[in-house]
Amino acid sequence: MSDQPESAHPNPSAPPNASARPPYRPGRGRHARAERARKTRNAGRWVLVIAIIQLLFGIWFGWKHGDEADAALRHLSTMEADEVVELENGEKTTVADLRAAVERERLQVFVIPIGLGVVFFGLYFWARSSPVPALTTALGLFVAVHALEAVVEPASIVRGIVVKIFCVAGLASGVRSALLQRALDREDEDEQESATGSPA
Amino acid sequence: MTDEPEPPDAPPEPQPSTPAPTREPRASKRVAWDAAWHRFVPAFWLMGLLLASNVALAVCIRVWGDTLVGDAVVTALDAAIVGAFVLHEWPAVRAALRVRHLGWRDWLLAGGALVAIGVVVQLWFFIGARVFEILEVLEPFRENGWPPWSAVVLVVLCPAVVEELAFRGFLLERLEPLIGRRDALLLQAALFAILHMLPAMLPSHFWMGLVLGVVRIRTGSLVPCMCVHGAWNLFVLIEEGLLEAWP
Repeated sequence: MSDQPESAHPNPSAPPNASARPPYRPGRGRHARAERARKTRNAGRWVLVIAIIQLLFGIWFGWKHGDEADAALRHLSTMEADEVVELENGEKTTVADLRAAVERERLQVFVIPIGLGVVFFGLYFWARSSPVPALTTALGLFVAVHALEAVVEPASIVRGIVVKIFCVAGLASGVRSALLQRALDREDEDEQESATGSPA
Repeated sequence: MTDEPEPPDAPPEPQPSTPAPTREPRASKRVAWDAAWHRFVPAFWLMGLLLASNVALAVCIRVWGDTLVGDAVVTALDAAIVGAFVLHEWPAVRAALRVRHLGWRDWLLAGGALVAIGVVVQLWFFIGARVFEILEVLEPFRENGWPPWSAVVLVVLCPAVVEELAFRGFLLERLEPLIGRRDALLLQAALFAILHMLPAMLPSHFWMGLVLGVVRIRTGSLVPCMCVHGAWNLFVLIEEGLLEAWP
């Protein structure tokens, strides 16, 4: 060991053929790429989970609210259409308007969660080809829906808070991984293009 | 034949004194992969802050009912937020505010975009009226006795300028070098729809964001987008009776 003169190589700890290897570039290795792909895939699965929850919730809530709406409509059918009634918040309205509002609400509680579920399903499939925009949209939509829900019903903030935190963290991590991987792929394409002189 | 060396006294290629205006100069921009996240984060921040200000407005409405003062304050807050972010990307946004290069084809495209938005959004609201309660934009102004010009400022001018600067200006400029033109176009339209925070508006405003994004890319300017956006909002106000006398 001491036979080797120190001046034989500028870095004594490096192997003699170190100059022949490509320079070490962090984040470009096989393991780093696999880790990013895993995080992106997991984020896509979170979108699928949200879609399934939304659809199940929509069907269950629509069915449950449908019974309540039927009961309300049965009660209203005993009253005259132009009769004026006072609501809990002090507003006055006619029975005909109230019937229309109940019918509309019955559709809303069914259509909105199912519509959101369909959108999340679409985002899951989009995330398989273009993960960055799909996951960013899913994250934005998820946060906006729950923020709006919290405004309408403040108690809903703590409902399923752990799942919500995991969803947001998983989606944000997926966006970051997918973005870095995409930028790296494009950089590799550029390098290949400049090395071969033709588009990759 | 190409190996033949150029004669040393060959005249140099003539260089134009001023670069010719190009419509799509951003496609060649590339960001180093490890800097991509740092370029993406401000877009996250802008979206988060705008979303937070809209949630604050929703809380105000929930607590105090339709509050135009709250609406005005949030509009000013949004303008301040967008202004700060736009300053960050100012050279690109300033270039997008030019109008001199616009020709009649660009304005024709803007007119077509207005028609496309009008037809699809009206059709959507016609169908959606069975499920959703369509909100009257002008009603709070009438009820509170605010003058018609205040509705024009708060509903037509401010959103047209602020939202176009934010979505077709800052976000599109930021996202395009990172994720490509098609994905950036789709993403800004999706975020534009989400920011309006009403499920009934998701499809209509996604379409609107998409059309305005196409106008921005094809014309290379934000001004036609602002005009189309403002014209559509003005049309909505006129439809609700802006031109009728205030009671």
